[in-house]
Amino acid sequence: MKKLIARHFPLVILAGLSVAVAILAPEFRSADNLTRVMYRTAVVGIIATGQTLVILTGGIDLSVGSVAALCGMFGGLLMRDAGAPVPAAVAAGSALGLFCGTVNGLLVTKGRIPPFIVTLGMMMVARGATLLISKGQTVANFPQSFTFLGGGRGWWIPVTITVAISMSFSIMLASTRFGRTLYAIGGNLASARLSGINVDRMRTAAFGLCSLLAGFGGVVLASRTSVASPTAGEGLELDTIAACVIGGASLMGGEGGMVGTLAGALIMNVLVNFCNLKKLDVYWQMVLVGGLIIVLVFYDNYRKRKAGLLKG
Amino acid sequence: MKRLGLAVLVLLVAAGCGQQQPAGGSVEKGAAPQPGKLRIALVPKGLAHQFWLTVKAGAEAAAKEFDADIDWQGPAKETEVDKQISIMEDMISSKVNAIVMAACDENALIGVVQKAIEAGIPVVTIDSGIKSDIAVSFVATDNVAGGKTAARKLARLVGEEGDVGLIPFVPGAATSELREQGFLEGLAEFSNMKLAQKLYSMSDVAKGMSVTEDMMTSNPNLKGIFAANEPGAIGSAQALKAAGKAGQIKLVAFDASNEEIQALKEGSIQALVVQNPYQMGYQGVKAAIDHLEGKPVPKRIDTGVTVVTMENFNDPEIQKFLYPLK
Repeated sequence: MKKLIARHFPLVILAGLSVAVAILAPEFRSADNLTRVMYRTAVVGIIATGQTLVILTGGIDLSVGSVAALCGMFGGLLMRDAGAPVPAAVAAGSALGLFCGTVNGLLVTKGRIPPFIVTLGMMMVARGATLLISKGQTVANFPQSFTFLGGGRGWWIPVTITVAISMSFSIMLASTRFGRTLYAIGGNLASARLSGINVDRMRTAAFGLCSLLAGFGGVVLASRTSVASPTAGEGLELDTIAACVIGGASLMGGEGGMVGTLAGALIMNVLVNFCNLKKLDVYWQMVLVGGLIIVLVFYDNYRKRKAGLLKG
Repeated sequence: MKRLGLAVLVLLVAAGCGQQQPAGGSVEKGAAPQPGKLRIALVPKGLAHQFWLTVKAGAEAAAKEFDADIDWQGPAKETEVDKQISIMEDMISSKVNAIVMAACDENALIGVVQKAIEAGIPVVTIDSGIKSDIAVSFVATDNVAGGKTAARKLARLVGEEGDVGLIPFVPGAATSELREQGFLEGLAEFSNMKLAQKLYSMSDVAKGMSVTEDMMTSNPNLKGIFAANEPGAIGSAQALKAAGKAGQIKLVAFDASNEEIQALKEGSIQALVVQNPYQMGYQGVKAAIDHLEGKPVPKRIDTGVTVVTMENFNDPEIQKFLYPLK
């Protein structure tokens, strides 16, 4: 039981935090507000799922925000200017993400450049490309049916998509060879290689999937806001990394999981929502949210060490 | 192998940097600067959004009229203060004749403007000024007056009573704070009106949506909202529409991008307070050229605001104002 709680600590925190917020801010309890907090988390949740894959291998992907903007813009332009049907635009946006991620992965594994540098470069390239293809303009006037992804036909659609993605990757991590391999690579890259794992291919796949999800998340973001903005997704890389880390992932690799990551993303949004509802000063909001991230991660590590789940 | 990696990295970073300028860089790249022709740097706060593209169109019109070259370079986003400082430094090193710029931060840019002036390069500020009078001229909307106009319009829309919300863009940005100041001054003229909440959109559409939703939740009696710039206004309009509150909660917004005009037509925005970015670009470049030619230039040039609603939308005057690029 103790181990179970320790393993799913982010969920415990999320539940505790939600109860506390519900008591302190009665407005939080309304169905409208709760659904809004959930669908607001969809984009970060989807992209953080991809980020978790990369972080598990001991990597990091700083390009997800820019890739999301690029893919949302690409899909949007296809619909507006080329008359592409909605499913084709969604697929094209996601495919472009997969391409960016594969480039990231190959540069990391075959080019032997640290992930931090590769994805920093990709972050700038993708942002520039977004500005290029949009000529710096916000793009809108998408078909009405496009809004369903972001919740135009009901909040539960983006929420269901996000939970479905998170769950499928969670199952994949636990019960496929690929999933367990990712943990092995993050745990000890050299011994993973010695044990006959094709480390390069697995890491490339992690980067590819991460950007695929970033691309899809970018399309969902465009759907949610009904516009593709060339400056969309700024700061998403940090939000997703924070979600992973609050959710119990270790930036050293080998630690973390999808349920925790999704809980981490929700924890951040519940906090911001709480501050807004209580009309806290915006400067204090930043201090509070930042401080709580540190405290939560510290406490999570402390618990894990005590429960014997972490070395050292 | 390591060398190859390094080469790829250098290429990648170079590509990254190259990609930073595109939104406007292509026009002037072709023509090499001719001797004798004035070179004027135009440094906006961001490369995206119709606002800055309209500023650029105005600047180019002035450049054509007075036979000058425009060197357009700016940070990708308004919050990239340090990047804007570097761009200014590069412009000083490349010895342009004058710099026309909109400051990302009213304090942080003072130093580099000082440097330009010491290097003999006069600086004209447009849209967002600096907290110093070293610039030749400040060509901009009177944002306090604009905010006040917005407050009065919103007051009329809600029947001069009730709670209203404010969505400024970035804390510390001069334009944002001046509009806020003007809005609060305007609001104070109505004794039955009260500012219920202020939340920043951070110039992001998705954040603009979220903060509007939270504002509605925490203020069930909200009558109206003033969104102080384009991304915040688009997000706010989307949130009102999604909540079925479009038209019920009155929305007054600054600027007039295509998406904002769309929202005005759909009824999720009731009034737009429209600046004149074309004039900012045009008058900014003209002020710089006049100064270089030794003509007197006023310290402050107000480019004014116009309130656009569905009632006056089809007036030819308003149409010209809304679509200066056509």
